[in-house]
Amino acid sequence: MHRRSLVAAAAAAMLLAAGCTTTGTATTPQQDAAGPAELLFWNTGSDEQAAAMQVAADRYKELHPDVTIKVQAIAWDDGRAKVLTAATSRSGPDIVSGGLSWGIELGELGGMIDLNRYDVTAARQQTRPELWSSITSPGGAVYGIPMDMTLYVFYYRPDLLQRAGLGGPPTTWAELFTAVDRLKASGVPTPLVEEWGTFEWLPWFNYLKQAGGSLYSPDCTEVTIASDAAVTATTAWADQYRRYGVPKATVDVGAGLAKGEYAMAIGASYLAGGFDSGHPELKGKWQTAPLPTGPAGAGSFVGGKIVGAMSYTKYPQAAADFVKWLYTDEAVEILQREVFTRGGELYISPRPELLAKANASDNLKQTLQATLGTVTGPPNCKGWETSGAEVSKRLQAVVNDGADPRAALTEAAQIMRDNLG
Amino acid sequence: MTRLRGELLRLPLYLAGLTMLVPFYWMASAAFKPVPELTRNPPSFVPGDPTLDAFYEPAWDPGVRADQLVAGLFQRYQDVPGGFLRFMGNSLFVAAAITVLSLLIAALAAYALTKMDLPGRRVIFVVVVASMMIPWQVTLVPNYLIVRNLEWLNTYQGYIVPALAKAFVVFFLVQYMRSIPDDLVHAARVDGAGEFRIWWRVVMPLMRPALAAMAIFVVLAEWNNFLWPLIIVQDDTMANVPVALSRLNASNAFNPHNMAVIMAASLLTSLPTVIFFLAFQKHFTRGIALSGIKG
Repeated sequence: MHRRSLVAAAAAAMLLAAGCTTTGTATTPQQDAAGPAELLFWNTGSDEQAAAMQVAADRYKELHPDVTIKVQAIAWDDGRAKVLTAATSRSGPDIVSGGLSWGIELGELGGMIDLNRYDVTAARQQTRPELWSSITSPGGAVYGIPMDMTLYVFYYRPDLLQRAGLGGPPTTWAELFTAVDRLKASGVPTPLVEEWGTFEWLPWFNYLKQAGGSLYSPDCTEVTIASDAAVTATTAWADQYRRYGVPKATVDVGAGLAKGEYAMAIGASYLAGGFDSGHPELKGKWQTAPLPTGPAGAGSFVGGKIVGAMSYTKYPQAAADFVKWLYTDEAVEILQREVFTRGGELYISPRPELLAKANASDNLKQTLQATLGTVTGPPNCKGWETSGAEVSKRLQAVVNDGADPRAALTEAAQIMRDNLG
Repeated sequence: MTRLRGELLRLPLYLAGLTMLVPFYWMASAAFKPVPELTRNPPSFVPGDPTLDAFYEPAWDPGVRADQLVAGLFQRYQDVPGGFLRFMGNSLFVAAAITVLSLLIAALAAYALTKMDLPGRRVIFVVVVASMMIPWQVTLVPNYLIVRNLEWLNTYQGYIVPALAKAFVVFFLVQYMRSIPDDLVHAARVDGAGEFRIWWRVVMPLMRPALAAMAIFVVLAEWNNFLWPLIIVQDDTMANVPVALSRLNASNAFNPHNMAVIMAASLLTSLPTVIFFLAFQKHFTRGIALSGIKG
């Protein structure tokens, strides 16, 4: 599936490039069509999330009888390919949600509307600046505004930590690796696992931030990945696999924690929703904490989704209005309730102050709240979308082939520079 | 004694065959497991309490949160008339249409290349064979742009027409058709039959094994086709089974309880192809053997 998706995404990217050459540059959105608007919304994610979004859309229709929105789910695995091809053919959905970096990628290719034209000041003021800067193009365009957030969380089994003589969750890298050794000695076969971008650049990015490094300069003019801080981060990240037995393959975190095979996991916030329902024996046995800090302090990647309007929509105003409405208290409340009811999932609004109302334990809410203060989103620089996979390969070479971290990062930097143009 | 020795010699093959069946068994058994049994560790190999909940869960209510309940396969896709059966219908229709039409077209081409005095037929055949060396992914972009310009996105013709020209099928049928004596064709011509009549009445009946073998290949490929439908389908009602399965998989990423539903969907998806293969496997093996000899 993963290989298939890569082929699909690559083909779709070529399609969009080809489509733009055959149709000229993307046209500016036409004036709002008169009369009732019927909008199709492709929501990347599960069927349950789409069903929850449909409830919100139906409520919007009650408030705006002239606007009907049909929500359709598209899978993460191939969503980008579908949206790219829709942008190419200039037919398909009016509204899309997808990865945080999709907006800039699609927008710069002429596929999405710059929402600045529809005044998204209120949304910007309500969103964490680190997140907002991730979805703002270097030129200042905002092609999609944050719709939800996914944060990294440190999950652990307090009973297993206690049995290994540990007082609490590790708060630093040193404590983390000490904990791994002690848990191993106490009989836990795989003390630490990673999930969400396992063995790719995503979890490495946490280490990078905690070491004080970055991928690009703030203005996207320079590639900064080959720094001393990045070498420190890469060494620590690689040590997880080389010395501390972290699996390189994706694992079932819930099953491993439930069975006691794992004691600690660095994973996405969405995992929390499936632990109790998927593994009833785990109920009450797991806790969360912010990620351990590095030499430069705390740092964590923030992912999630953006939502925006396609450039070919007949109803740009109606689409933009709905996108902005998703920031309202009422919309967030509906999504928090419905996403949990239908899928048992945690919906984290881009508005941090509404985290308190999320369907989560107090411990998890505290963790998320603390993590929110340390987040950085994906880079908004040109070419990152295509560089990410290559960076992952160079990082993997450090673990698999014993490559020198600095040499690997220098190679990665060259690729990023080439893609930066 | 000799028979027993033969069976013993074949034992490793039986065991190897069994390993091929294990994933299928795992899928089938998981489709009938109740939700709590799905995430049991260690897993159960035989469902302790078989259930049809993965297909239809009577206790499921979309408005009520319940840890151990997920919507059954036939309770999903409520915005699509017919739900999952619609996707199966799409796959069935498209696979059948492509199979029938592409075989007819390829058989016509093979007839022209082997039984007619067509100028440059050797060159044409070489070009057809050479086109097999081009990865199909390379043609994805131009095909998409053509389909888009024809306004065939999200339509059955967009599904079907680009898949009708199959070089491998032409190549295969040419090899097979060469084994049909030219005297039969000449005799029919002497009797006054036209070329189309000769192709349909004389040649095609003799092509059954090869057509059956190719039909299996084409049906399987089209039934499992994912990438092309993914990019041309924009509305759920036009999706085929692999695209629907991909969406189900997305739900499972957030809730492992959906695994039974995925297995139920996978079971329903694989059954038609298994039945089709079992029904035509004699033709399949014969066709392969013949083409190998004649190739």
